[in-house]
Amino acid sequence: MDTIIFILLCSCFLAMWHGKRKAAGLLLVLTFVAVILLFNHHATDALEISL
Amino acid sequence: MRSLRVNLAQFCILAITGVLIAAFGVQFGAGELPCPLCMLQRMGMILAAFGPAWLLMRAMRGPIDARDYAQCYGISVLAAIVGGAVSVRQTLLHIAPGDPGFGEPVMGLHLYTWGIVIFASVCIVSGIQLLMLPKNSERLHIGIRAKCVLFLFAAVITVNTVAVFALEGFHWVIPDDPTSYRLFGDAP
Repeated sequence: MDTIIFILLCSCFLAMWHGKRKAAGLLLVLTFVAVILLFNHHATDALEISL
Repeated sequence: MRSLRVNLAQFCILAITGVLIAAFGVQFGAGELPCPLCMLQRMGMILAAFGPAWLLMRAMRGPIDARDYAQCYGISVLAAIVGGAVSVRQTLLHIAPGDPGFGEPVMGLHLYTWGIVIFASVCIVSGIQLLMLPKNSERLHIGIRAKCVLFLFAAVITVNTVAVFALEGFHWVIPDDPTSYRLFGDAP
């Protein structure tokens, strides 16, 4: 999942560099959603350990 | 005022790139492998730097207006909120008295505590940039220095991608306390 997010970040940078606004915006939204989902996964994991 | 806006955008990218390079120093120099929450904070920092980076890239293609500034610094603020939440979460995991924390402290603070400082600074700098919005669209001069900053930032993202792939291997997530690069063989 981390690798996928970093690939999304690279793609987003490339889309910005080539001036593809819609593609960059879509990739940014996808990246934000993926980061929040991954954070939710790890936060729940840590909560289970502490409980 | 125009040059101040460009310089501030470059400074934001350069500062975050510097922090990410320092994190590489800890990872490859001191041999401390990043935990999943550390990696999430790196993602938050890269997303926070995407705001000013996109602003410079838009300015290279033509005039930019207040909407462009607002969109770009809006990305930075959102990224700082997400990244800051991760930093706060990790700090709270190690806040109990007697807990040594994760990794070695740098200048008295652990890296995740520095993360809170960095994400708060991103919010402050983005707020300052949003206070200086231009009334009309303007053409910014993007010189070789800004392009070098963007290339350095791109290089750091690329190296991070390779490093995280080496760390994660073909698994879904990074382990809570990584001890080896899983791409080159799992630890027994």
